[in-house]
Amino acid sequence: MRLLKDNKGQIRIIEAFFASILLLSSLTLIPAVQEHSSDSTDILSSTAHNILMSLDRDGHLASLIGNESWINLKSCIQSSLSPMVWFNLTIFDENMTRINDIPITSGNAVNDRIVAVDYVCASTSSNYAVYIIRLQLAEVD
Amino acid sequence: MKTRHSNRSDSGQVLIIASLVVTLLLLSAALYVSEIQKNAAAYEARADPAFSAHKLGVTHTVISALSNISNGGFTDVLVANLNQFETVVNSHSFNAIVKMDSTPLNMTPYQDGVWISWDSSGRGISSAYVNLVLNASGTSATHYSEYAINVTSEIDVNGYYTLLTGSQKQVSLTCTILNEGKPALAQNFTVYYEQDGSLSPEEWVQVASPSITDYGNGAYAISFTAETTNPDDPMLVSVHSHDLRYILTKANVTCTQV
Repeated sequence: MRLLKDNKGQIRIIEAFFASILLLSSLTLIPAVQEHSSDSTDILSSTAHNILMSLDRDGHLASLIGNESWINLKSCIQSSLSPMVWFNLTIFDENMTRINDIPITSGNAVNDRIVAVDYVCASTSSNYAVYIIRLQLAEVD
Repeated sequence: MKTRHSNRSDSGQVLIIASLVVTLLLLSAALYVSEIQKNAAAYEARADPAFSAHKLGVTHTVISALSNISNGGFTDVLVANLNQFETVVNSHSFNAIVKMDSTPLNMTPYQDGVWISWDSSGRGISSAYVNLVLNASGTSATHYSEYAINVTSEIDVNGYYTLLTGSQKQVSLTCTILNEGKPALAQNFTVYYEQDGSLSPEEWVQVASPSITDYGNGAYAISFTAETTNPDDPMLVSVHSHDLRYILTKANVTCTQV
């Protein structure tokens, strides 16, 4: 009888221990969910950055802007992205005055989670110019 | 007996509460440590991903300035363009405080970051050299990188000629175009020869339509017919070339007779 009463106390301690392990394990799931959503943002901003850099590598980007070839610029961005990604490109001069007179976009945004990357682009021509390019990306749900 | 039973039950509840308190303490400590780790600015050996974009921007700035200078512009264009780029980068970095410091090299043969050498040995060099330091201080990390930006366009010319009738000569040239020491393509060539083979006074005659063969690997064969004042005049040729970056290089060469 005495032993049984002692065991009851021990079992409660074990129960409490398991309950705390359960609490701990459920809490460890929370950061994993947060990381997943921030990963998706990181991937989009990394994609935006890589697209702009690859277009700019041989001075092609500044050349397209200098010639105001907005249609060609749109085609370049579109061909670099998955059809499931929405984009909007805006070109500014160094005083943040918008240069592109027509929208360079794949349509209306269908997702509230939009990632924007600002990229500073310098021209290679002897007629020097600096542009600020803002590429906004969002995944189509 | 009843009281004893009640005391035993209480001791079990106290143990449960105590274990919960310990768990909460452990959890709060773990959360505190993870938050501190997130906020602490860590020194990272790797470069900021934006640095490669800034380095590319500075390289383009140097190419633009060299293109301007080699085509007759002033050498202070390089510093002016670098300042312009720096201002834009420093004022449009939202994720971190970026400090960019670019210094044109002032060491022989470079002066104010520029070296133009268009001599008569068949070799022409247009070059610019800038040392770049990038420092970014953000909320999560601090990055620091140093780069040497060197943009060099080079032309190497060799040539020979054969005598035709009278003062007419058939000239054959071999040109090599290099960008940063690697074979590169030329955008155009302009070829001149000296009327009497002497540079005093200089009487350069532009070759109207030289035959140019592009081998696709930075090597070009140029041939044309020239007529000097006298048959014995040396065959002094000057080749001007713009590469695809529109950087001008010039090289003069005295062709050998074969």
